[in-house]
Amino acid sequence: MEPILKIEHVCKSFGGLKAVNDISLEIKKGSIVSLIGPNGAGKTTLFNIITGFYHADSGDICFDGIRTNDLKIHEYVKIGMARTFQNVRVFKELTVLENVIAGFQGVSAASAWSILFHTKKKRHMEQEMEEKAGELLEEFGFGGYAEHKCKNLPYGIQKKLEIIRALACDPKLLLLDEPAAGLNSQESAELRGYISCLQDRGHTIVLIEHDMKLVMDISDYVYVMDYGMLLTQGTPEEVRTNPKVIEVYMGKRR
Amino acid sequence: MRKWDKKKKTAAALAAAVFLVIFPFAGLSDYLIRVAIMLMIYIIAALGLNMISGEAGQVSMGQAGFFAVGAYGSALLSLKLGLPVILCMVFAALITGLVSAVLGILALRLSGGYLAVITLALSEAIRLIIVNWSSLTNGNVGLVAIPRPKLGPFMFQGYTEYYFMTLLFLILAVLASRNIIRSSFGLRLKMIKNDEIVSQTSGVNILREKVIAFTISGLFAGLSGALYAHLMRFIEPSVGANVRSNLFLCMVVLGGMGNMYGTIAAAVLLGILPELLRGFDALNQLIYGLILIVAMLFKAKNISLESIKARLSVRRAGKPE
Repeated sequence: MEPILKIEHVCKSFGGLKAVNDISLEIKKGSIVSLIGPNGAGKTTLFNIITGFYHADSGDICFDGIRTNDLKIHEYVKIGMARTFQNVRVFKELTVLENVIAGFQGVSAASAWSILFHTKKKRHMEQEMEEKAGELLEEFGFGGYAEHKCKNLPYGIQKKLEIIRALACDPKLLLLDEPAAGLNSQESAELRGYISCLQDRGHTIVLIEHDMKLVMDISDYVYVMDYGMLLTQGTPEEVRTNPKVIEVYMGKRR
Repeated sequence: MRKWDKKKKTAAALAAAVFLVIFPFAGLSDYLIRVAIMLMIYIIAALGLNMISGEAGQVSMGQAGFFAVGAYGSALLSLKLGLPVILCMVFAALITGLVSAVLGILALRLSGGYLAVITLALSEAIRLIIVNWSSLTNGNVGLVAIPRPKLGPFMFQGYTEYYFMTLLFLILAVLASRNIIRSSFGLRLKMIKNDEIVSQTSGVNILREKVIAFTISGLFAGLSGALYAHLMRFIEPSVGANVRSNLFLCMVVLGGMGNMYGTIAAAVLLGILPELLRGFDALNQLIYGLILIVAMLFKAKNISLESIKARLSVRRAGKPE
């Protein structure tokens, strides 16, 4: 299958530190791909380059036939890429429903005229958005929380809500940065269900994750990073038995 | 519950409307009607500032600068070109909107304390331009004999006519403000206030949205300033003084930073206090300051109108969900 995201020889340095050093990888359409490696390996930096928070010093990133090197952060939603953050980031003062509607903002906008005069067309559009957001919440079993302010919800629920918000714009590619961090084993199992469900909906998923059980269970393919470089890649089974990976995680056998 | 709320709201709006309409006919002195007009003028400027500082969370300390642009713009248009006053007011508001759009594109790349300082500096720059461009603005002497509006043969000599004209503008401002806040644009402003990073990843061009909010804020300030100029009939550069910017910001903060009705209430309170305190002579500033401090402390403890309402409705409903 044709890759939806293609990264070629991407480098990024901060001062003297090569955070990402000549990384090339391909993400196949419809797959779940994990990016693993020890802390400080450059995984989040790579995510930030893919989603436009950093610009690569060199190398090319191609998403769905578009070269994304010079896009601005807010333009990624329109080409079909969405992400979540390592530390849960939701709009804390807004309700759950508003958070999902917020996710629509990049793909639909009312004109100034219609806003000022509260036109029928605008009301219709907003109602439609609200309904779509409601449906999305129902689909993931969040219907009961719609009117709650986010800051009042438990951490685990906020994390899942963040994924739903990212889904609102119906992205082709969804990047999840440590979705299981801070979740207990039951919540983590639920998350696994969610992520498989996303794949069934046709989204391609890239995730950074330290929860190896989760990674090995759901990934189609795994990339391992260390010191900014690609250590190895392969199916979960190949990566699990690779001595280099074991060395990075467990230390060298004396 | 919701239906009942709506009924209550309509009743409140109706009562307010009746009060506002009969107010100038209650046999009150010109002085009181003038105070009422000033309050409405302040509310318009505060509603504007609420858009950028309250809703979008971008603190601007320069609202008075735009107030001055509107005041001078409208006064000059009517004095130099002799255009109908109401037209001058509308033009002045539009010009101020344009000025704030241009300055906003420059300033809104900054946020937080930096934005506060740069808006302060910009408004001071506007004031100094007015002082020094004396061929146009008459410098520190100010502009005198600014005309009152005229509608056909009908001169707005008395305060009653001016009152109703201002009320009309106020109603338009309140409705526009409410519609904007409720719209998806309003939601985007709330998103920006909550988290700029996530707003961007959700596809919001935050600079663009901030500039639009700042433009709306300037437009309101310009209209407010224009209404002020033709009410006073005399303006000088201190209409754009920082004190007035601070006053507008106090209204927005006391109102609850992003609470439209709170801002209106705070504007009324802070606008009327100096009038009530006139009897205290030298002490009035001190008392004003004390009241402001106490009000802010209460605000900090979250005893705003909104929370009182929430508390009451919880009590009525029995217990919280």
